[in-house]
Amino acid sequence: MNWYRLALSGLWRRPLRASVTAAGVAIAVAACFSLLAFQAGYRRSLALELDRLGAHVLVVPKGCPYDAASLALHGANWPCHLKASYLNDVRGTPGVATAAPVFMAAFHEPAALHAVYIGADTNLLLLKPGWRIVGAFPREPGDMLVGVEVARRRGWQLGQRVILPGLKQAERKVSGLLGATQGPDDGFIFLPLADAQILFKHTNELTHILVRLRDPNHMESVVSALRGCDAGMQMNIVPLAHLFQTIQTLADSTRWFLGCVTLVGLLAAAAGVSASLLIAVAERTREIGVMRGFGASRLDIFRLFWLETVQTCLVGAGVGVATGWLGMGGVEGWLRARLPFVPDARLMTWEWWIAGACFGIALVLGSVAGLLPAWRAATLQPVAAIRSKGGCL
Amino acid sequence: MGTQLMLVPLGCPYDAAARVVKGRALDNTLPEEALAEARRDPAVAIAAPILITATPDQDGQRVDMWVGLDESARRLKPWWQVKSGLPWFTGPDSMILGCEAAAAEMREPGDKFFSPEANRTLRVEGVLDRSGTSDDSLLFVPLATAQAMFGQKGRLTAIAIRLRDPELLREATVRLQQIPGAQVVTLTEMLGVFLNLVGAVRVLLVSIATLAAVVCALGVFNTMLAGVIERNEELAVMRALGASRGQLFGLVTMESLLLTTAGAAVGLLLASTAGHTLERVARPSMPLAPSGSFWELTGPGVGQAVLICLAIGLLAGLYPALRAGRIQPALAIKPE
Repeated sequence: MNWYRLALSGLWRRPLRASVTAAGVAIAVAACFSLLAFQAGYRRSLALELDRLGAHVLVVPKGCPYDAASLALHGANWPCHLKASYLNDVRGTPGVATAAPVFMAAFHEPAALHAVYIGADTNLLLLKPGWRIVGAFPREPGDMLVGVEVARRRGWQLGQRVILPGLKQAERKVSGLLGATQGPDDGFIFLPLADAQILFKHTNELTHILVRLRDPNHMESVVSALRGCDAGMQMNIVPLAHLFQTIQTLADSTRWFLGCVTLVGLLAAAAGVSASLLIAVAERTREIGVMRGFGASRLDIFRLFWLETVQTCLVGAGVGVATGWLGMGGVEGWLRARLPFVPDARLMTWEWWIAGACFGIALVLGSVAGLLPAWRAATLQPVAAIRSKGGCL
Repeated sequence: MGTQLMLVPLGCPYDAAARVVKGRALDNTLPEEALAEARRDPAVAIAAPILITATPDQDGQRVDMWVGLDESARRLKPWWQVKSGLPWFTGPDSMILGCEAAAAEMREPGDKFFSPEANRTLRVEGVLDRSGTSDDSLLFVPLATAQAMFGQKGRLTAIAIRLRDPELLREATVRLQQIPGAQVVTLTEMLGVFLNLVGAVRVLLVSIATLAAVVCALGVFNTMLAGVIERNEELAVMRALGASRGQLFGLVTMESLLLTTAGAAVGLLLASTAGHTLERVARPSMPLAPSGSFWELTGPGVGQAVLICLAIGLLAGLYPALRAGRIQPALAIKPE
């Protein structure tokens, strides 16, 4: 234990230098931590989000299916529509267990409270076994089901009659409250399909169809059957597993670049640590000589300086991980504004293995960076060291 | 711009692009009837069919991109200039090479070109001028030849369309969207999405690189500060011998700048030697990688790097230099 304390006191003699060096390590480690947390969180929340949708295949109008999938997940106005008659073709395809037609529309209000309306029928319930509804799912025009977030923000109660936001003439009764799903469903207002189509003047039109298969393992054959059906030439069939994979490939390909640049940061931090310890060895040449004179072995001196480096790196890693953790919310908001295809769930998550990996990296970094200074200190000749004025390295 | 919009098969265009680059067959192609329908549209001036097929090399290192075109494509590509040979196909067995493809395959106009994948011998008619676009690494053949070579009779990968008047874009899009099996992608849309993606990656890279630069600056700061403290007496003697505060400040700043300039020089040297290796390592893990070299040491890039290094030197050296300037000359005559 003595050696640890001795090494610490060595660092403490130059508090500014030690803290600047540790800050360098901290910055690099914080970047590393954020990157790892983002990679892990992004993958998980993307999978979670697609999972919550409850469908295996998404049928959307022509146009880019990514945009369409993103619209279906987060709620927005759709630029184009599917004919309601396609639904029968989809239902008639072998292998399709459930096909839930959806009509979605949104209003953006100035107060940043936007209202997303979903017109759906009871088929939707088959896709969402996790839903807990107080009251009833709307079946008759005039009823509606509201997400927990909507009810909270607007102060709506079960059984209350309210004017629909964005639609001045329309009054509907809250027939059901949807329990918290922790997903975008919390912010949606669900109407009976026909009611929504009439309200938004798109009779016999849908925005997308959520399809659940009898057996997800037969995805390929069902997808090609869907593409081959009569309406197959007029709609895009998006298997969500493919979508997940493609987005993931895009995200993964950036990982190498980001990883390389982070590595450069870590190496720069290691170089900084090495330089600062080399200076310390030079400053304390005489002291080392005296220690050797009193019987300290080469190994002792080596250990002393090596410990100092490792301690600097560990302190830096601690500060870095803490900063990364505290700054996670900020980084997440910043990333959300810049990245396309961002899932709604948390992008960055604290995981113990990530913190552990950061400390591990810092430990390895410190050990390697400490080798040169420690070796230089250990190989000093005691007599020459005592005689020297210091600072000759 | 030659093309304003593209008709592509249903399915995601990015996915399709990623598949083509990785040399995998596309799920979906367009039926040739879509071409006839597009040409019937009153707003369409030129509709050029394209069939793209990617065949991996024997060693799997490179992917040959075969492009089938017909006469209408020439009107869409005003930059189509041959370096040598003939400007267009003379028969079903002729081909034209992009300049990089010609260099890689070591072919000149008049040479034979055997494609083992399709078991067909073609005659190289011309080699294109360097255009700086993806055309440089493509192998062009007549459309019907491409369809026959790769068993895609009556199928197309995409149809490039130029309108009579760009103002008609909106209404033409609505009409063309009705063609069965096809969807419209406007180039501005496509470009926007790609730039968005590239922009996002760029922002992330730049921000992490900035952090790395800050780490370096802290290192320089530490070294310079230690240097000043170590040489306290020496600097005091200089002050006593008549050096002004400004001169000492300048001295230390100069040292800091020299240090970072040396670092910049070594870094650039490293980049120029190791850059291509890095590119080779990174390429397999990148989707949609352009075929040409995307790694280049440009003048502005080098200038930027040097400027950033100088800025780091200046900033990191500021406090140590100030400290050097504040050293009292009296320190020089103090006994130790």
